[in-house]
Amino acid sequence: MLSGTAVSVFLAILFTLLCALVEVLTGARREIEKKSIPRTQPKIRSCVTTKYWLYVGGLIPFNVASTLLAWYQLPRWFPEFFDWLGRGSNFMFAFVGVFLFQVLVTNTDIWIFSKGVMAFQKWTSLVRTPAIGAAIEKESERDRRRQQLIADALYDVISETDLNTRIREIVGGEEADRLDANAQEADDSKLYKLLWLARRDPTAAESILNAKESS
Amino acid sequence: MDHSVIDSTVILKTFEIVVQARSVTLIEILEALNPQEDARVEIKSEIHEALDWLVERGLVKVREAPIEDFSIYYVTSDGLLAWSSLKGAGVLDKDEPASRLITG
Repeated sequence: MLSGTAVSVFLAILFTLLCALVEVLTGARREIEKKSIPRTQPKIRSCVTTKYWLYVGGLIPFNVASTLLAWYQLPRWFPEFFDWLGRGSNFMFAFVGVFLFQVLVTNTDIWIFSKGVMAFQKWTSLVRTPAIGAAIEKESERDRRRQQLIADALYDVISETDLNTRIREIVGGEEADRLDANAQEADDSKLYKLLWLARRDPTAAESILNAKESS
Repeated sequence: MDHSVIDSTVILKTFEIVVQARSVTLIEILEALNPQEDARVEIKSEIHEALDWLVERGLVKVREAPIEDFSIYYVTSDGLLAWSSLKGAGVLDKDEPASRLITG
């Protein structure tokens, strides 16, 4: 029996990690659709930060407690169902404890005399938002580093004329002309175009780099 | 924490773009706010001031690039909380520009 409980607790911790990761990933996603803004979304590895672990650490005690509550109470309410489930009931306790409890709690605010005495929605948001902010920060640093690395790597291997041709192929004449006009105002027009390409279409920029390196 | 009030439409619109995009370059903000190429030069300094204001108050942070147009501006957790307060207050639903956002 003890090992069954341990399995439920282990699964509850696993579900908590997963649940927190999905929430942070969703929170860090772009909510805007503009042609000029890259459509890339944050990667899972950007979401795993110190603040993510703090968020998980804050959730685990509650999720384990609710899993233990489910383990204690659910077989008393639905004995036949849990007899039928057998060993699968350990999974069910953790699932109910983590997901249903979390859905219930995170969508509940209790107000007494116009005061949010048990404002769970707000509390969970206050713990979750720093984890989302940290993921956005990590992803932004990753983007900046990648943008700079690609631009630096391409700078010496591609001529500006060749770069103009490639950009024209990728984005079309009108946008390439606009970029060219903007780049002329910068101190280094080639670097301007490389940074633009690395930001707007990193995959194309990387494939140009790979082609240049292999030729 | 200090309380700050957003009373400028430019700051609010700039903040909106950064929050919704999560992280965005200066040139992308300009393109998103004003698709008309000619008018971008005029608003660039205003956008820059708005971004400085937001950075100063910790709502937005910046990762500098060698060319200013490609510096990446991203929303902080304080910025996300401030934005949800603004949405919660219903200020964004009104037609008139948002008159105040209390952060902190």
